[in-house]
Amino acid sequence: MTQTQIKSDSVYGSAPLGVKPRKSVAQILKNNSGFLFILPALLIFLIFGLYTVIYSFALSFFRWNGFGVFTILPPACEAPACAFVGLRNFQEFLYSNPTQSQFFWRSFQNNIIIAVFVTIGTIMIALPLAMALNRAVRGQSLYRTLMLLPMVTAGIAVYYAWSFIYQPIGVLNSILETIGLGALQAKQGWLGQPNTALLALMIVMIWGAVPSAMILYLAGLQTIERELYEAAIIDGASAWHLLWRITWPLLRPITVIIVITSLNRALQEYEMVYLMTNGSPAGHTEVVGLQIFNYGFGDQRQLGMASAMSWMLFALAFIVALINMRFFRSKEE
Amino acid sequence: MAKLRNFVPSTLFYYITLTAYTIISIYPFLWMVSSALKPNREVLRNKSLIPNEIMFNVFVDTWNQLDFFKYFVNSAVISIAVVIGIIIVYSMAGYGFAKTSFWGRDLFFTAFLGLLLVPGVTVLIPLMQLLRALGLIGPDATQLSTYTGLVIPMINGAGPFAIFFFRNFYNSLPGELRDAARVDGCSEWGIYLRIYLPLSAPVIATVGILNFIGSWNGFVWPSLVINNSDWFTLPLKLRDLDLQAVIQWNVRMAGSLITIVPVIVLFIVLQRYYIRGLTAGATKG
Amino acid sequence: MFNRKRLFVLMLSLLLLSLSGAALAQDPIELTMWTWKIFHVPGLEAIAANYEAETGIKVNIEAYNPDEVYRTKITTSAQSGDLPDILSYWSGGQWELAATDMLVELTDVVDESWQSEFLPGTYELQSVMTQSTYDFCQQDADCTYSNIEVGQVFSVPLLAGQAFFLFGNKQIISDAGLDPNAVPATAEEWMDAMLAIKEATGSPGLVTGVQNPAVLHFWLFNPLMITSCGVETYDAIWNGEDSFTNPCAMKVLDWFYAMSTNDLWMPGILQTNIDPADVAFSQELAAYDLGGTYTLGFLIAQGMDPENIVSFPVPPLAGSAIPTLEIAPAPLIDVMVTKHSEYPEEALAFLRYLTSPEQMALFAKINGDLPAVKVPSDPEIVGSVMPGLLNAVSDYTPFQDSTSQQLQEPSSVLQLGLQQFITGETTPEELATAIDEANKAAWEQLGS
Repeated sequence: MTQTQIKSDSVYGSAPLGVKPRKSVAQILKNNSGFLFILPALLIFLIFGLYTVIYSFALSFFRWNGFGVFTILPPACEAPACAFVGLRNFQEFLYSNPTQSQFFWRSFQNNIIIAVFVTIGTIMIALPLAMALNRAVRGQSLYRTLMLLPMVTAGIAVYYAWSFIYQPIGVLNSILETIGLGALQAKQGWLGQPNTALLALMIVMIWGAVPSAMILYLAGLQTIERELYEAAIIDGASAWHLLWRITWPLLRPITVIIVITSLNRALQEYEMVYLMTNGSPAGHTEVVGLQIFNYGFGDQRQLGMASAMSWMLFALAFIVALINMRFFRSKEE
Repeated sequence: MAKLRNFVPSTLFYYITLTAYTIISIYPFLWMVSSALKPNREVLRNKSLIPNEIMFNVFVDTWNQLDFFKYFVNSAVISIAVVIGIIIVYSMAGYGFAKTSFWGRDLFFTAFLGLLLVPGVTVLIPLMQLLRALGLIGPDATQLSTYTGLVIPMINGAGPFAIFFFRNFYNSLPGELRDAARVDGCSEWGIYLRIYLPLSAPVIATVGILNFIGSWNGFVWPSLVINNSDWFTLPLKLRDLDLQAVIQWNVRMAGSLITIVPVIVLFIVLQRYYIRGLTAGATKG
Repeated sequence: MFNRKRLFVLMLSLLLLSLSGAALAQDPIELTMWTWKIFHVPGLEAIAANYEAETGIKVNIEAYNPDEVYRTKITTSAQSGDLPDILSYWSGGQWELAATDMLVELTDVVDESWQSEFLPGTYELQSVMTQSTYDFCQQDADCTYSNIEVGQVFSVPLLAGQAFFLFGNKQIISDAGLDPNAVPATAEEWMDAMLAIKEATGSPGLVTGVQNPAVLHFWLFNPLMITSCGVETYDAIWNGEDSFTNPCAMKVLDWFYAMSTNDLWMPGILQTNIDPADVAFSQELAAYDLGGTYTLGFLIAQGMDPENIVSFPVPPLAGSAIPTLEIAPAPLIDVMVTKHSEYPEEALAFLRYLTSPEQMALFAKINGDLPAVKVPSDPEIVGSVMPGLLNAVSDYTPFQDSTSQQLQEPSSVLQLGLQQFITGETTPEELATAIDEANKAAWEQLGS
C-alpha cells in the first residue's frame, strides 16, 4: 500500500471519502501523541517563559521603580512606587520627550550601523578564512583550535584586554606605527575619539563572531562536491565566477543563520558597550541595549521604561527576522 | 587547472592569512596570561607581552584565595545540570517537531523561535517573584532548591537555539529509518530513544558544549539567585577577590584564567564532536 | 509516697534544668549586613569582630559589586523576602525603600545624643525628610515616595565624602618653574598654571574620570557654577526661572570650552574612567587630578608619595559671587534596618554600635574613607591620611543652602555637552540654549 492509502485508512476508518466521522478522544490523543515530546519544553516555557514575558510586556505600560508591589497574577500595582501610565513610556522615548527621544534615536542609529557593519564584516572575513582553511590541510586542526578561542574565553577579561589594546599608547597604535601606517593612529585612544570609538567596538564584535561563522562555512564548503567546480572550470569560469555562482549560493542557508544571529546580537548587545565605553565618547557608542540596562538597573529605576524599550527592540528584531526569512526563502525557490 | 592558478593565490598566501588571523584571535588571551604573571604595577606600564619578571606566586595565591575546588564543584554541578536538562528536554522537543505531527506543531515551533528575540533584561524581576512563589528561593531556601531555581530558567533560555538545532538535524536524517522501525512495531518513543537519539551525538555535543560554556561563565543571573556565599560559582567568587581599593589587574587576570581554563580544556578535548555537530545541525537548514 | 513526691520534684527540676539548658544552647544570633563597596569590607569586618567580642552576636558582612548588580539584588531580594538585617544604600535613596515598607522606622529611635555624633550637614539633610525634599516630591507626579512625611527617619549616615578636590603633582609643577606649594586663587590662575606647565614640560594639565558623564557635571561644573552665581541665582537657573545664558553660568561654560581649545586635557581623556584617571595621575601622566575626599587614600595606595601631592579645593572663577569654596562632607552611604530582619532589636543595637565614634575611627584608620560621624583627628586613632582630610573640610558648604533640583533631562544634555566640548562638537552658546530648552520642557512635564 502507498503512504496515502495507509493514512486515509487510519484517519477515516472505512467510511467513504467525503464523510468525516467524528474522531474519538482516544483517536485524537493517538494522532497527536507527538505532542508528548514537546510537553516538557512546553511546560517550562509556559511557566518560566510565557509568564515572565507577559509580565514584562504588561510592565511597559506602567511606571515602576522595582520596589513594592507589581504583579500580574493577580493584577496589582501599589502607589506611590507603581502607577499605570498607558502608552506614555513608548511616547516619551519615541517622540514626546525631546531629550529622551533624541538619545533613543541616536542610539538606534548606532544599532543599525552595528547591525549592518558587523554582519557584513563577519561574513567577509569568515568566508575567506574558511576557504583558506579548506585549502590549508597541514595543521588545520591547530589553526582551528586557536581560531576558535575567542568564542570560549569569558566576556569581561576579553573586554579588558581589548580596552588595553586600544589605549593611546597601546598595542594597536604601536603596531600601526611599526608598519608605517602611523597616520592612522588614534592619538586620543581608539575608544576615546568619536570617529573611531564605534568602529573599535565593532571590530571586537566581529572578532568574537568570526570563529563560529568560519566553522559553519568550513563545514559547508566541505559538502560542496569538487565536480561542480571542475565542470565549471572546464567551461572556462574564472575564480570569481566560481565564488559568486557556485560557492555563495550553495552556502546560502549558512549565511542565513549567520545573518540572523548577527542581527539579533547587534540589536541586543549592551554588556560589551557598558564595560568598554559606557556610551562614551559623548554618546557616540550609545546603543539601545545600554539605555535599557541603565533604565532598568542604573540609578534611574524606571523599569516600565526599560520594558517598553525592550519590547520596541523586540518588535524591530521580529520585523527584521521576518524580512530575512522572506528574502531568503523566495531566493531559494 | 593552469588557468585557475593565474587567479587563485598560492597556498603560501593562505597560510600567511591564517597565521595572521590566528595571532589576532589569540592575542587578548595571551595578554591575559602575561598579565597574570606580572606584578601589578607592571601590568599597566609594560606594554609588551613578555613580563620583566615572571611571578608565579600570583597564580598560586589566587588559586588559594579562590578556594578553587569547592567553587569548581559548585560551578560544575550547575553547568552539568543545565546541560543534561537541555539535552533531555530539547532533543525530545526537536524530535517531536521534526518527525511527528500534531495539532499546532508549526505554531508552537514559531513561538519557541520567537522566544529568541525577547530581550532578557526585564524578565529578571518576574523570574525572581516566580522562584519565590514556588518556594525555591527565600529565607528557607536550601542549596538544592536554590540551584533548582537557578537552573530551570537557564534551561528555558537555551530552548530556542537547542530546538532549532535538534529539529534541523532530525529533519536531515532520512525518513526511512523511522518507517523501518515502525514496521518492526516500534512505538514513537522507542524510535526516538533507540535510533534517533544515539544518532544525534554530534548535535548533543555541540549544544552541550555551547551551553556549558555559557552557564559556566554566567555572572549576573547566579549573583541574583544565590545568596549564600558558600554556594557561589567560580565567577561569583572571582568578583569577591576584588577586595581592595587598588585594582589588582594581575590577580583579576589570574583569577579569570583559572575560571576559564576548565572550559578551554573541555573544549579542546571535545572539539571534534562540536564541529561535527555544528555542521550537522546547521547545514541542512 | 515520700519517694514518689521526691521523684516528682526531681523530675520536675530535671525538666526545668533541661529546658533552661536548651534555652542557653539556642543558636547564637547572627546578623547579616550588605554593602556594595567591596573595599569597605575589611573595616566593617573589624567592627563586626569587636561587636562579637562584646556581645557574642556575629555579624556577617557581604558585598555585591558592581553598583547595578547591588541595586538589582536589593530589588529582587525585596521581592523574594531575602533582604539582610542591615542594609547600606546611597544616601537620599532610602526614601524609595521606606515608601514601600521595607525599612524599620527610626524616627523615635535616633535621639539627641545619637544625632549629635554626626557631622553637620549629613544626618539632618539626607536621613531626615526635609521640607524642601517633601515639597519637591509632592510637586512631582512621578515621585515614588510621596507617602513619606516631613521629619520621618529611616536610616542613619555611615560614610561621607565630597568631590571638588584638586590634587597636583608637586614635582611636575616645580619642573615648570612654578611654586609647587602655591594654591591658585582663581580658576583662571589655575588654567594659566596648566598652560605654563604644558609649555615648559609638555605634561598634560588635568585628568579625571571624564568617561563617566556625571563626573564633569557634579565634580567640576556644579562647584564652579555655584560659586560663580551664588546660591540664589544657581537655584533660579536650575529651577528654570533663570537661564544658562546668564553671564555667571556662561563664564563656567566658557572656562570648560577653553580647557579643550587650549588642549589641557590628558590624551585619551574620553576613554578614562574614575579609577583609571587616578591611576594615570599616580603615574605622572598629568599635572592635576580632580577627585574627592576618597582620592588621597587611593593615590597613596597606588604608590604616590604624599609629600609630592598638593591638594586644594576647586578655585572659583575670578569675580565670583562666592570667592572661596568651602567643602563640607555630604553623606554618601546610609545604613538601615530592613523589615525582613528576624532580630530588629539586635540589628538596631548594631547600627548604634557601628556609628559610634570609636568604631568609625577604627574604620577610618583601616580604609582612609571619611565617616559621617565626628572622629578625632589624632593620627594615632584615625591613621595618617584622615587628619589632613578633616582639616580640609568645614562645617558649611554653599550646597547646603541650595534648594533647587537638577532634573534628569537637562543634566543629561549638560553632561553630553561637556563631553562634546572635548570632541569639538558644540560651543558654549549652543549648549546653554540646549540646556535651557531641556530644562523648561522637563519642569513643564513634572507638573503634569
